[in-house]
Amino acid sequence: MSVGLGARSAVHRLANRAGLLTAIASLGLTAVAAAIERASAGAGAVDRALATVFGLVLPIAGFALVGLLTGKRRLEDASWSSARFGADRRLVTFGQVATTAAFMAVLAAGAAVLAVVVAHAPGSPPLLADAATSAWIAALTGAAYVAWFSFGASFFRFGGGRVVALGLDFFLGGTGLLAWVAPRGLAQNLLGLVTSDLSQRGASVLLAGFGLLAALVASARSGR
Amino acid sequence: MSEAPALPSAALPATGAPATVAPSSVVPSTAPPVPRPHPGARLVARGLSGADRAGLRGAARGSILGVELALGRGVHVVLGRPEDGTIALGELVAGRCAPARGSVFVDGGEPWRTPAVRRRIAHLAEIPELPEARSVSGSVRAALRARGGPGEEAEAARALGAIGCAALAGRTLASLTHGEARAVDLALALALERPAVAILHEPFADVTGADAVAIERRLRSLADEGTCVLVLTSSPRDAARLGDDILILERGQIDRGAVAGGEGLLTPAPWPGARPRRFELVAHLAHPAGAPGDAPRGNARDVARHLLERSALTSVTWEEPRPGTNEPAWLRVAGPDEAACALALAEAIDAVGAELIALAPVPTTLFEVHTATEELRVAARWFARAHAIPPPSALPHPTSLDHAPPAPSVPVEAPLAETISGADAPSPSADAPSLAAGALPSHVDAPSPSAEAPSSAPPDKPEGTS
Repeated sequence: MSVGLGARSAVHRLANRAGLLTAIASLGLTAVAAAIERASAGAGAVDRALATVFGLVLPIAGFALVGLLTGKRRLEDASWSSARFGADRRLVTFGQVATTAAFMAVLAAGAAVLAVVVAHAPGSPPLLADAATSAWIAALTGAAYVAWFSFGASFFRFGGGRVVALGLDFFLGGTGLLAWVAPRGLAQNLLGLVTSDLSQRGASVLLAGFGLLAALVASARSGR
Repeated sequence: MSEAPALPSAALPATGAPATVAPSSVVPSTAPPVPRPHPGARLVARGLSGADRAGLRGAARGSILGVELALGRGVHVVLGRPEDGTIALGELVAGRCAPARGSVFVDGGEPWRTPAVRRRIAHLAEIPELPEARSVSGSVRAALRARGGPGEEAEAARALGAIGCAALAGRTLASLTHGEARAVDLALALALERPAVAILHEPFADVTGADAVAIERRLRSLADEGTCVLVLTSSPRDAARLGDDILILERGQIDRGAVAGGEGLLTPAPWPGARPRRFELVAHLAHPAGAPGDAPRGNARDVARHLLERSALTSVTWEEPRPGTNEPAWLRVAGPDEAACALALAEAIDAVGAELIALAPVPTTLFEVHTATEELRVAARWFARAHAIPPPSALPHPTSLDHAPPAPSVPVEAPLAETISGADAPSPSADAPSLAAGALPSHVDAPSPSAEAPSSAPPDKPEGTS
């Protein structure tokens, strides 16, 4: 019941003009970046376009969607409209984060497919297989980003931890120890952009586990 | 000031049952969060401190500091501004966030970490946050489901209709004005069956379209059923009309309790040195010229001239309409008796042939309430010394555990009048201390045993009554 209330409230907060604008801006930025890469050089254009999607579009879109969910307040405040009538705050928050992650996963998959299609050039990997692989990796990464930013939004007075999470991921997420606990590093691991002993299956399990853990901790931090 | 002992026992006026309460400003909240026994108390706050989230993007607008409460059934009014912490008190009791310090219990459970407790709290917020849905009806149903009910359409319609807001059911949440959203929130609050606590922030202000009579009737019935109704308001008139007892929240602390029924707020007793009470009325008069063809009417100046001869009034001010406009004139009269002011005004208007358009009282301001508070505090100190009343630790705190019937009519004026005139001070009777019980602030300078010695001094020399 409480999870359902959270899911419904998240849908109402995301399925509006602001959510639509976020989606359009993300897809538009992806298309422009992919077109530029395709125009500059056909070889490797898909990889460079995907690097833009994973490195820039997904973090910013995830950041924006979590901002829409929380209303730029702390995460626990986002669940108050249902929790004040007796719903369990943790479950409401989990429902909200899970729904936002699903929304983001769809958007990320769409952006990845768009990047592959627009940047596709002679000599690129087979379109369908490349698009499918990119889509599920992007979906997983997008969901992990939402969980990561939700975790961040559970800190500080106005959910300012969301900004800290963005900064950490942006500047330090691909290097050092933080590469193992930030979505950017884990996504790069999954894409094979960094050298590690992990298989793609292992890297995907790691990213999914990271996202689930971040969502659970963020929900738990909201209290009951 | 005598140091009150930590957690002194206080006899409670309504039930006589012992309870542990303490002045708000004395007790540090170092105790573990375990509810202490308060027989009959449904809402218990111990050293409760915290801020609200009613400002922009969840910023604090007011806060409370070390509030001690033990409230039972009945309508309890907390009088104060949001900046004094009324919203913070409401949010903390409703369980919006954990207290910064201290603890709050509703029927023994902490609302901020117990969903089952929140289900038994009816809450009208200053800024309502309703569950998101396509329509108001859907939002109400979602709230009813969160409370554990089926959330059927008929149930939602019944909740909205109870206070006359059924017309809002089909609207979208985004289309509601602030007052309409508060009306929906109020409907949800009042729809809860037998809540443990009902916290209502300004239930008669900014609630568009709601039936005030129905609201008041419902609040009273909730109190009669055993609910602890906590009304947070900045309106002394609402407080006086609704409250079985009134607590004044000032700068985050419960300042004092008022006499049951709240009469003391609006018509304070004539304490030595107290300012005389002033009532003000504002009258709007039709333009003297009137419509074309009409006989000219008396103007505000003529009315004022008549009023100046009346002893019932202490001041008269007026303003004529600007030349060339058809605006009404206004006239403001003040005096110690509201009815006498109105009567004098009516007679003067009739005498000069003016036409009255509107007449309204000037409401009591919080500043006046605070002034009256200070006067009562001084009077209570003087009264305690004059009648050798025991220290405040043994007196009822502004805390009540039960729906208290109005306090027995106490000889407020008679003993004071006698004392002022230099007559023998009355011996402390069973009735006499109840004046101080209602008026004595919790942290008033108490006549400690050592300070009691000079209490045999002539009572017509009160200290600090200036």
